[in-house]
Amino acid sequence: MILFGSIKGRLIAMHVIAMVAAAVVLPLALYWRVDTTARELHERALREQAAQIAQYLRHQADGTWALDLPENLRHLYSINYDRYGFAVLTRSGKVLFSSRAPDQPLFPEPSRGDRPTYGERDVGKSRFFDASVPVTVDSEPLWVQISQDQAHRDVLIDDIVADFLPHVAWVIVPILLALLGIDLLIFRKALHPLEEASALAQKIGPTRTDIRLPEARMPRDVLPLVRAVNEALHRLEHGFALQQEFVADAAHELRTPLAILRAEVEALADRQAAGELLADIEGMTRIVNQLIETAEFDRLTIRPGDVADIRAVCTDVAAFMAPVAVARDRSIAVSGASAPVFVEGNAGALFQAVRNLVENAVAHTAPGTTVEIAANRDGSIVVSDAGPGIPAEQRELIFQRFWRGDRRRAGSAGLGLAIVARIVSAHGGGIMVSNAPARGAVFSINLRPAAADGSLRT
Amino acid sequence: MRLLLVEDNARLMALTRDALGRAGFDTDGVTTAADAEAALQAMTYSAMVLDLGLPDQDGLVVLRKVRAAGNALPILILTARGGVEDRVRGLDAGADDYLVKPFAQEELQARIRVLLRRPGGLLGQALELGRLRLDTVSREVTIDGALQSLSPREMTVLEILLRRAGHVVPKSILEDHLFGLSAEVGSNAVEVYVHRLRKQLTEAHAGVEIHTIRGIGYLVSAPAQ
Repeated sequence: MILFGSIKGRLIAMHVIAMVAAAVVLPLALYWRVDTTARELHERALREQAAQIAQYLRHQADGTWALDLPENLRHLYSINYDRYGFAVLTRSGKVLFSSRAPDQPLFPEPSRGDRPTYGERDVGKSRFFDASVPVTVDSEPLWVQISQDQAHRDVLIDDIVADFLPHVAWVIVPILLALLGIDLLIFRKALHPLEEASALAQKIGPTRTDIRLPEARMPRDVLPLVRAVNEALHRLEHGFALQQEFVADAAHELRTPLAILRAEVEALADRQAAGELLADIEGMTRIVNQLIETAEFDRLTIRPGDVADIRAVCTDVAAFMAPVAVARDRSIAVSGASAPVFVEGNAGALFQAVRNLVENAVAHTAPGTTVEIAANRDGSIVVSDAGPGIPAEQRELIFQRFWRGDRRRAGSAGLGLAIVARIVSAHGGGIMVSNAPARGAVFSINLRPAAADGSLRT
Repeated sequence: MRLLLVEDNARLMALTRDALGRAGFDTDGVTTAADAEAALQAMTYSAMVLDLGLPDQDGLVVLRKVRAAGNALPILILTARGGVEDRVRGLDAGADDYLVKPFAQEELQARIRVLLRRPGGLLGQALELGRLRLDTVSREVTIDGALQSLSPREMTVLEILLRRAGHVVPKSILEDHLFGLSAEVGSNAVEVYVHRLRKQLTEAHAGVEIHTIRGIGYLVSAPAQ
């Protein structure tokens, strides 16, 4: 069942099979019904003809029988007309009258009961339809045989029956197709809650363990499954939270030993060795801080109503990073909007995102260059540098955890840009990286603007 | 000048006390919140360096008790908890500064000096950076001991920058100090003073640099060597 793996696929497949069966059986059944009706009509017509003939039979006083057919009936049964024949027989089988050879029955009388019998008979090229009808005339039981040449059967009925299949098929097939279409809509509507739940479930991942499948509007037969999945998710979220806490706790615990190590190294008499060791300790410190930030921002959710001024965020980051940049003979500049720009978001988290970008830029650019931070009125933050830029083939990779462009560079866990991406996605925003026309990388964070007074746009 | 250092890790305590001692601070060290409170009762300290993760109680409890008693003792929190919320909680509880481990001993000493220089603090009124020294009382600037003449407004700019040496001073703060609320401030007036000041300091080989952080303000620092 790989081809029809989905419930909808299965329903549709089975439905199509049922439709095809219906498309075949329904016309056949109707044809059979019409054919039967036509035959019954035919038989009734013949019975009526027999009864009509019986009307003109008289039992005479001398015990013989007389038949006075009016002109039109005589003509109907004439040899010349050659369409109908009749014979009147006694119960003992003696032929009283016959439209064909005198004293000859049209066909051997098959019935001795008191119900009409019908039959078909081939004579030469002709096919005859026979009826043998018991009648009672002047208290005498008689048989009236009526025979009709099929070649002259009622044309109207024949046409109806003969044309039935092609015509009815043309009506039935579109109706069935329309029904199929309607059913597809019904399936879709009925399965919609499941599809919504599936789409939602696709978003569940290490960064979004808070998602639960909706139980409202879920069909009752699927509800136990949905509940069980939600309970499983709850247990997973708990386990995941424990793991995150462990990472954060472990990283925190490393801070004091690092402080001790640093104090010991700072007290060393060999200043050159101390300088190299201090650089290593700073690298380790950065990794520890990134681990803590990773754990912290994995749990970040933006509450409705959280508003941040990205211009203030950019200014704060520039002020925070300027001493670091200046110490490394680089500079930082802020440009963009001259008034506050409010977005939906958490200022503390956005600060860390921009700080990571600026830290990265300062680390990857040449001395004497400037890292430019801009908060724009459309709610975007742009960090651009004059470094070597990011090769096109790496622009997706750089946001992955533990990715490092240069694995020889110590003191980086490759978490900085992953933290940035995580913070931006928690804001429902986007991050793009490109290269400036001249040189350098351009990171753009796009966020959802809030109203100018800091309240959320609805 | 006596400091109280509250740190439960004995090794870090010893190393930090040694480093502070070399920098001229006499330091008492305790490892628990209870000992810290007892020490504060027995002695008058110039400042306290407080770890938060103490074995018997959270350092914040000690901090709140000190402030509740109306004690304005300068307090610097020194902790492994570095989150924004942690910092805000610490500062809201009454800490004057917040430093996250691991830290450079020099930075700890610099921050303690800043705390002691604040109003009511015990350090002198001189601001020093590189070969530059600015006496905030006599309003004299010397470079390697030689007097440097500056205009009052250049002096004001330099003093503000030196008070926040190593940090960005927003241009708006300089404007406020230079011109108060007077309306006729030329948009590039601050640039003009900074430019003149920078030129004089460079010519006099003061060993300090005034960096322009475009879009925000200025930062003064002493380049290595």
